Amino acid sequence: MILDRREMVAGFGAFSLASLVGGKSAHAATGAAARLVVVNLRGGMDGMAALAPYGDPLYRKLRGPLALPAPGAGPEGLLKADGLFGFHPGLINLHKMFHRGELLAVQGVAIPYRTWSHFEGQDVLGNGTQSPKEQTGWLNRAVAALPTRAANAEYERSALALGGLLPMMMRGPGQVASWSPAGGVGRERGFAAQLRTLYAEDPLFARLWGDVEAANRLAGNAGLPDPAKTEFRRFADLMDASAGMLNANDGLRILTLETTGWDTHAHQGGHDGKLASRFAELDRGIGRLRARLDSAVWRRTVVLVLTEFGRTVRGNGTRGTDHGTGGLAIAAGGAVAGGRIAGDWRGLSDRDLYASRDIFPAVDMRSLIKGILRDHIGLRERALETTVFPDSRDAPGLEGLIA
Amino acid sequence: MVRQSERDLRAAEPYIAATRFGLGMGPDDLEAMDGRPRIWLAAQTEGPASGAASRVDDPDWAAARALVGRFRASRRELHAQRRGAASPEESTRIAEELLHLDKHFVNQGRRAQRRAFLRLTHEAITTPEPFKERLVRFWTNHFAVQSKNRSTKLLLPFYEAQAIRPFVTGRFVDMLLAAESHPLMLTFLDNERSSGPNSPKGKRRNLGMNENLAREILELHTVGVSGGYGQTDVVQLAEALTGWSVALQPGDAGDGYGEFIFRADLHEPGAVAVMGKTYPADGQDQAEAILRDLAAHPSTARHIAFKLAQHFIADDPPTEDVEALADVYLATDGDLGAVYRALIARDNPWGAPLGKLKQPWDYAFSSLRLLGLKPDESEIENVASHLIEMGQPFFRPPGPQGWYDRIADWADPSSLLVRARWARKVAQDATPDVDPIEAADRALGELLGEHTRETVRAAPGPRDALALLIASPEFQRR
Repeated sequence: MILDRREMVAGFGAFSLASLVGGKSAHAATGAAARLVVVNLRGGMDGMAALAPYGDPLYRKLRGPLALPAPGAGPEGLLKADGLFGFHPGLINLHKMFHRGELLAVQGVAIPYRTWSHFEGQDVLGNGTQSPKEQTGWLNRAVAALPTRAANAEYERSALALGGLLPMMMRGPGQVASWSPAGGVGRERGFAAQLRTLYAEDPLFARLWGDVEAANRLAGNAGLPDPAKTEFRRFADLMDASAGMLNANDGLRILTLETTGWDTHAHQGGHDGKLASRFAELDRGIGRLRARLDSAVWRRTVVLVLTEFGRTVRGNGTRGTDHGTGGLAIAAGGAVAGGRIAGDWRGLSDRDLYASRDIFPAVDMRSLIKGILRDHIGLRERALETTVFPDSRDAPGLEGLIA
Repeated sequence: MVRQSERDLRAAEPYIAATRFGLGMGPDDLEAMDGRPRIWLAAQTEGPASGAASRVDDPDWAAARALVGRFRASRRELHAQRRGAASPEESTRIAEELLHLDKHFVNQGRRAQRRAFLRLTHEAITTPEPFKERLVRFWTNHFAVQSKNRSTKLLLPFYEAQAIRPFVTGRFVDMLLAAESHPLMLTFLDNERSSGPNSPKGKRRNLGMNENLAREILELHTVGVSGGYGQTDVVQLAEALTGWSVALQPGDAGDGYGEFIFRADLHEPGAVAVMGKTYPADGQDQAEAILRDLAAHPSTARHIAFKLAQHFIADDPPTEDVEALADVYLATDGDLGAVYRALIARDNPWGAPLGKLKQPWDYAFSSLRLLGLKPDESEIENVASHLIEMGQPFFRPPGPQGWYDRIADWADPSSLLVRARWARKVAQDATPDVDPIEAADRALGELLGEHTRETVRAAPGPRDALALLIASPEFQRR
């Protein structure tokens, strides 16, 4: 007995996004539906290297050999954002977007749980609560909280985790799919049908297999190339594939990606080196997305770049940085009210730092995400405060993030 | 799973023993159990694991380190030549030679890892002690390391044999000391150049201290994240650990590259206080004294008890089991063999449903073990790449915390698709005389559900049937 998808929907709660199969988009009149791309930088991205406070006299002293040259000091220098901050020289596209008003940098962002542990940090970043215990994610709960559409419309999965295992933020009963370049469209249709039968009586496996089939359909609709023949290892290529899926009128609305390699404890480099090449890859990917998205879609897109924590203000003994607290988050996209540095930067003097070592955690990560889910995706305040981010009245959604 | 009568439970025991505690039923396991699966398990809680090696007098280890030493010397020489190059053409030529050398170096590392993976796979498939082998994987994951560079790539396969296998049923403190002093761990967590601010070299060169190893020892390896330590303890332990280093070039004390050495000139002088106890200055032994106390700490007992219970029983293990194991740990001074025997003697591991999911390596190895398939050198790459696609590149855990162990960490649509593909492949490779229903009964016995049995029986052909068995929820669970 194969589970009717509608039964699964009813069983797992409200589901839908502004997408449907068959091209009958209700948004044809009002314009493209909102798209959200969440990029999770795993390892604790060094926000102070991404957007450096060159204008603060303590910057050079504290960062020592890791400090970057001020804007104007040649190709190795920071790219000026304003009188205080400059982007890492590898973030060329992001810098351009900033000055076009398409990028918002948010300083002093932190999860609401003090930890220097990666796995706790990532768990809290994904689960949207104040501790690592919760095993479902805020984005999954957001998908589940979106308003239902007409009862007889068919739903396609509109939230996809791209690139492998389902991240914490996407876990839970809400219907999401995951697609990995390695696990894409399979040819063995007969066997697939037998598997559907095999898994029918096991709720976990039935749900997972349903997601496999949905993701295959989604990937098929977007015309993704045969994963067996495609080099998908780089972030920019994944963003390229994402653009295709996001452009479709009846396709994807929410997408998550992850990149690793941000845990730069040793020899992180300056204008070049390990961290610089990570920045360049991130920048290339977001630039590629912007280039490939239809302009009407880009205008309704937010790319949200998050990490579990920032890093120490001072370098350590091995030319790197250790786990910190406050960090940098980025919102990029045509929908963003950009061109400014938001959040709360307290400064680098000892009393302004957290534990005398880290950037002060002034902005609750949940406030940032809430502001975007409320003003860009259209989730209600009440849903945000109770189900999506349970117990979060002390972290109100930020205003003015969306144009 | 429906809880059954006493008799049913007894009938299921061999299959629970093989699946929950072992690597799945192999061709000889039922016979070896001889009707007493718990005794079969208990017999595996003594002695070192097969393949244990010594860091001290292992000629292979010495040879591998010598090879790495030669590579590094060649690189240094080529770099020096390049600096003194007479012309840009010569400089370019030397740069190309360097590139070739590095490629060769990396390839040697890859081959070493592939050979090690082949050995491990064969061990998992043929071992008469699958419970012990599971424990090896558990502890290698608990003390997870990654290779940081070309040099460590070649040496990585030795880590498990030297730091884990000899101690897997012995005292936790011995495994702890072996792991934390192992060159792979010291380089992975950046301790080899960590220097105390007041150490002789630290003062002169304004070098710095690295907290990574100290933090992970407390957070991951011993007392655990809520074990009662604070940031000060991390820093103090890091100070004690300064000087715990690795020989990096000829002329370092010790017998060449890659061996543990203590660098007194990096060691932070003075006493330290960790978790409420003061440790006087004692050079290299200061950190060892701290580690011994950490191994005996009640939080460590609880942390390890929890992890073992979570690994073998359920994601959310019953509190009474965790407490029982922790008690045994403390009562026996951290005798892991005694803890395992206590685990086997509990009721919950035998009565609770098999709800966890096999990790990819577990899934792959148990399917090969069931069918008696032994991939050779030409086929092992395929096994390794399937594991990568399932989300678990074998020698590359995602970080010092190792692979996570909960259902949600492995319940993923794209991973499931790859497992289905694997099931298909393994079914194709199986010998033609395998009867799918017989294999299903042999693998799972009482654990095989009616629906799966019927679906397997109704498959269009024996290869499909076998693939469905391997892909079934019952076979993927433990």
